[in-house]
Amino acid sequence: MAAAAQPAAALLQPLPGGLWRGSFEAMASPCELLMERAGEPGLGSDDEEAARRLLQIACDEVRRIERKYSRYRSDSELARWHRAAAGQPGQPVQVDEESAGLLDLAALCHQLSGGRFDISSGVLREVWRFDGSDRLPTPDAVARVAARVGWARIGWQRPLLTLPPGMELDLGGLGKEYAADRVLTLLRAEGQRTSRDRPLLINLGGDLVASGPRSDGSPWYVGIEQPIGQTPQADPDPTQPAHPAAPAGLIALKTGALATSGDARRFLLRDGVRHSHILDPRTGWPVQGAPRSVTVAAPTCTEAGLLSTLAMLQGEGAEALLAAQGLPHWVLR
Amino acid sequence: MTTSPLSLSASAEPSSLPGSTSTGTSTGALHLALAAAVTGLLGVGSVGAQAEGLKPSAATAATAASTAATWQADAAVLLYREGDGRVTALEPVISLRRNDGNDRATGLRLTLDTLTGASPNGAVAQPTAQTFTSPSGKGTYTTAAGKTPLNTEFRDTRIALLASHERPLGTDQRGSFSANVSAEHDFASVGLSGSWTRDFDNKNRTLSLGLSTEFDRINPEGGVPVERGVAFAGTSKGSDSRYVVDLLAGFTQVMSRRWITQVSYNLGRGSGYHSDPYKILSVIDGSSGLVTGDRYINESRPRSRTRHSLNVQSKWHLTQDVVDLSYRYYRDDWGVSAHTLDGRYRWELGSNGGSGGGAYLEPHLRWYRQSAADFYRTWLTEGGEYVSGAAGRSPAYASADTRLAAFTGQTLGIKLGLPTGQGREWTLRVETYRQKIDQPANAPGALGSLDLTPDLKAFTLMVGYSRPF
Repeated sequence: MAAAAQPAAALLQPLPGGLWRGSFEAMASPCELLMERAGEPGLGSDDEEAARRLLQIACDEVRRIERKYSRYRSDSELARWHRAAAGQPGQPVQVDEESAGLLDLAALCHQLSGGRFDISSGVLREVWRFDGSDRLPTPDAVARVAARVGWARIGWQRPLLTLPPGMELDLGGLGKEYAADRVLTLLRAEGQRTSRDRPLLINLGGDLVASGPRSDGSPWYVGIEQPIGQTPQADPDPTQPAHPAAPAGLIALKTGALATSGDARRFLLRDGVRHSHILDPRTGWPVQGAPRSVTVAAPTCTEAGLLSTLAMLQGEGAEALLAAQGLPHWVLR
Repeated sequence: MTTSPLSLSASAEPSSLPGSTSTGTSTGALHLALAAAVTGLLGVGSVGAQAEGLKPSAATAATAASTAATWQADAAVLLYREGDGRVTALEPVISLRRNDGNDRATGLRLTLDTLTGASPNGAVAQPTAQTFTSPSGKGTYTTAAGKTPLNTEFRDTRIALLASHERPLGTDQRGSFSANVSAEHDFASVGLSGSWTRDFDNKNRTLSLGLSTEFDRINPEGGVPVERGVAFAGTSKGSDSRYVVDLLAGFTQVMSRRWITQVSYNLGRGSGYHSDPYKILSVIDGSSGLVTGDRYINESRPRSRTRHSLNVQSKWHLTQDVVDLSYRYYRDDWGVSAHTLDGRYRWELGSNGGSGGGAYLEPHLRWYRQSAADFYRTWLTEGGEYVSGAAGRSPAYASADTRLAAFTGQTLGIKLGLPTGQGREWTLRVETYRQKIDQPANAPGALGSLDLTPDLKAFTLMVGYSRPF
């Protein structure tokens, strides 16, 4: 039976254009799954049941990953590591295979980015609040909290993790993209199991991955949000509070993934200078000259997400880094 | 990393972005290193690191992997039980469905029916006990005073087999055909049907056309009774047959994101033997209400029947639940017309943590009302429509089968669906049915104080299990 605290069930609707649209809330984002309808849009058809099954698999998987790595849940795997570190300082905690894979990837990104990508930088949020205001933290406060950041001080010997006291990990920069890839893997397996491979697109709050082009060979079109202040805002629609603004542009996606870093709504404004919410873990201060948003297309969502984050962290050098990778990308400044 | 939700649009034309940068051609070390690491993490051995961006990469090659055939098995047992010791039916069904991976599906369904109990024989209740000869002619059964006569020898076993095949015909058309045979000790039936569907307007509109035919052979115990002849006289004419053709045209339309609707029309025509060989009518005296003269005669129905029905169904997706409403209008050239209202509400109970959809509860309400056939009679009156004796007269068609009477039926039910993961699901359905038959007017004499058309109450229980293998 549904408990009171249970998240809303996923919703499946037919969409004009021969699609099923599944939607659910997870990871504090609107998530959606677009699936091509097979054959007739029959009432109570097998196809509806099949689409419902796919949606449920997707929803379950995203919520599983969210539960496991959430910063906000005391029963998450992440919370277990933090408790172990606080309870027995210096004692390693053993992590499972999946977590080990994510930590390995984080370690690699730390190395590749010269320390700019750091999953221990989450504590910087204690002093930085990006609400569009002009409240900058004091250099003292930043220095104090930056002392608790640094992947190099964390003991990671797969599968053993040793966290120094006061340090915390945050996999938020990987979670959604990793979940999108995992969902695609599971849905493909289900498609093969039931011999019902169908074109589909997974969108976890703007991080997307497509299984392939539409049946007729056409691409999926993806809109990119207009950052605030670029164009005069139209009257906001009060009936759609959390709805994204009009797309600033459309990207045709045939296969693979798109991920975006940056956020048009989160910044600090001080003396006319816009401080991005991308913080450099090495200093504790915002990255200078970071673009407003970076979108990257790559074979997997995890890779697209990491590359867009790494590009943001490069600040002025975002375009140069991306150009060197030979992947389609879009930078908004 | 936080991102803004992107809106998706499936209709606009792509345009370039301000500040968009053209794609480079060199492959960066960063990209290569990440691609390799991500491949390890996701366990997808085929995710290459080609700098192809929007062009299909090796990642999609994985989707074109094996298209091995899959099988789905469904098993269910249905128990149907009428009140007052009437019919009990036990019906196990097993069906297999094979999908060959190219969207071609083949199915096989085996149904067994065991019917036991008692069924009204058509005679009207009397203030005294009545004795009838059983259909086999070998025995008799007696009905107590004031009770509607039931043939207690009613039992039957039916076995039915249905084979079907469905396949795409090009990109937006599908064809299906099926064959079925069914056999009982006194009845055999073979049927063939085919249908064609076509999608239009990006699969938002579907047209389907179907044709089905059925041939029945009726071979009753003791032979086919002579219609309108005196019952239990032992005269019969062996066996008879019936041929039925149905045409179906349907139209499905996606009206909006939350609303889908379907309209279908069915035209059917049957020719041949339509009577029930085990049903009789009472011949009664117009003032006393007691059986008189020939007492009981065999029923008789026209040798053809043309049926029309129009069905409208809509489904709405609410925030998470689904409402399903349908209305059906039926009429035939026997004078029967009927309205059916059917409503279901699928209440999602949320996820069960498995990977096969969530559990749901589905209450079901159905209301049905039909008018009587022109030749429906609860009895025949001696000296009125019917005059006994070889030189007498009788109406061309007459039947006391309550299925041709004017009645109202109400079904109340609930279904529970319980997925247990990996595409497996248990279903449990419980339904109650109540049928109120209109009482005949002007019941003469002794019949005035008897319940001539008792209500029918029935109960259905179905347990089903479905799984892939």
